[in-house]
Amino acid sequence: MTSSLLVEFASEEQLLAAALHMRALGYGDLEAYSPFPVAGLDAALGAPRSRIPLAVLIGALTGLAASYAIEWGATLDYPLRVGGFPLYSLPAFIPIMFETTILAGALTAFCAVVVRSGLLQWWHPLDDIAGFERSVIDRFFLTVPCDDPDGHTGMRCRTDLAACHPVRVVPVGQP
Amino acid sequence: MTWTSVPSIISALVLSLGAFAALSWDMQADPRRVALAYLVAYAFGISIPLGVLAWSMICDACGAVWFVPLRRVADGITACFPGMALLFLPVPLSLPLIYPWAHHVHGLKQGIDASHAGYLNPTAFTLRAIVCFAVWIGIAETMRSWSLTQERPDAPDRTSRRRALAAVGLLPVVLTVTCMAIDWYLSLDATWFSSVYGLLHLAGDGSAGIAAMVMVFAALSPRRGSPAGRLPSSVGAEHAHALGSLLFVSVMFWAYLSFMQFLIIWMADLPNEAGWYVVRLGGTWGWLGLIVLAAHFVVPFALLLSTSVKRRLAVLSGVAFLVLMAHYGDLYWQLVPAISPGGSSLRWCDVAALIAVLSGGAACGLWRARGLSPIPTHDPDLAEGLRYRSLR
Repeated sequence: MTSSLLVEFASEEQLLAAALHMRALGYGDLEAYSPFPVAGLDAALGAPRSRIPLAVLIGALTGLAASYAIEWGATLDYPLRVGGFPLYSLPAFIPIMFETTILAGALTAFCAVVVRSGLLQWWHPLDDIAGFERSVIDRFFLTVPCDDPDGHTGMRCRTDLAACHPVRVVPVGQP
Repeated sequence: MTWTSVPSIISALVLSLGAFAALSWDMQADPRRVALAYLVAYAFGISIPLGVLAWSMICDACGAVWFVPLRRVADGITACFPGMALLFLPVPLSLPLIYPWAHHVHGLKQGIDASHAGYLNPTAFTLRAIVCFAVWIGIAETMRSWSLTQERPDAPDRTSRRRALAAVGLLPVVLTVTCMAIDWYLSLDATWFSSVYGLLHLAGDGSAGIAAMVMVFAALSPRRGSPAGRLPSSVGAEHAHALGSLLFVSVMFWAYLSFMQFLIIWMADLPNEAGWYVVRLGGTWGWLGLIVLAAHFVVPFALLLSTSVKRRLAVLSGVAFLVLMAHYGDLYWQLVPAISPGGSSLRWCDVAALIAVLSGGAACGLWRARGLSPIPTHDPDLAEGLRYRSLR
């Protein structure tokens, strides 16, 4: 049975140091919660490189191509000469192409982050822990999965964590 | 610990003087073209310290600690302003050669009425240039001296003053750059106007300034056997990433404003506005315009999307060099058609003018950087700046 521990820290430096410390001791699958992005945390957690930028690039290029196709298609289907300009007037298309590129890229980024961060779950075991809501206010949290064959809730894990100066260590319920 | 040596200062000075001698020789053959070549080269030269000044003020006003280890690099480039002011002198002296409003002999005063003459006349031009230089030199020198006083161990902390001046000074800098762009460049075509022209120039200056900072940063970065006078090894990929992001922003801002100016004029299609573009988008000028678009926006934009390009200083300085070249091409494309609407090849006088301005400015910068450490050693924010990690 795998259980994990939630560790609370008062500062981002302590969170960063704890993540590095625990990873050096061989703990994997660490997850961190902080009210703002902490520089260097991804590397400290050993997280693989995010694929969201690639998704955003593909989304943005799709938006670009789609609006170009719509504008060009509309020009072919409904030829309307404005101000004596040629029917195919690329400069006039560009503002819309620019806007849809940004829109599609931003929507892709938003949806990818919502889905990949697990924000669509109605409930998570961490929600039952009182005080965890401070992870969006002023506290920094780390979850450490502790494999513990004896059934004792991670005694070795707790000892290892004690060196990281946590505010408190709480066991996380099973999902 | 020094950046510079006496031989490098002297050789820059000699190079500049030699180029001036070549220019004055060429002046006898085609004075208009030589005067314009000098204006284009000067526009390129002054854009670098201006762009660095604007970015350095923005970073200070925002309290960007990552910029602190590179502050001496930025201050080193803006220290060229007094030399650049001296190098400006040939421009007011050659006014009647290239500016139609200063031209009284050949009847080229078309479209200039009494209301223009009150603004566009040699005395007012010179006075406005003096005000511009006073603002730039005043701000740059004050900020530099506050940073240099901190080199003394017992010196008072000037960070908050620097920050306040940076915030307050940005408005006069934008206004004087607009004034400069209208006076020095836009008035080559005394009947054409565009309200975004000053800001567009500032965007180009910002790109050139950041590109130049990247190249100086790369030149000063530590190498094997690290000699004295180089940046410490803790200034590296993270700071390159931040500078690369600013370069990315700069080329996008430049492209956005350039396109908006074009789009508005193209849509209205009024003769007195569109004429400027008709000349510059036809024939050989059109090809140069496309090259500038590719080298100043499309290629750097595509490359700088990648994090690994921004973090590798050697690759980033290649992109920066491309942007600098494209910035020169942009100024050439904007200014030279004013006297050669049919097209003009790059001439020796263009190269000589570029060498004269750049090595003259560099001599001033190198001279003033004598004996200075490449990082602000006693800046209270230095330690935090060296620890900076960019978000990925």
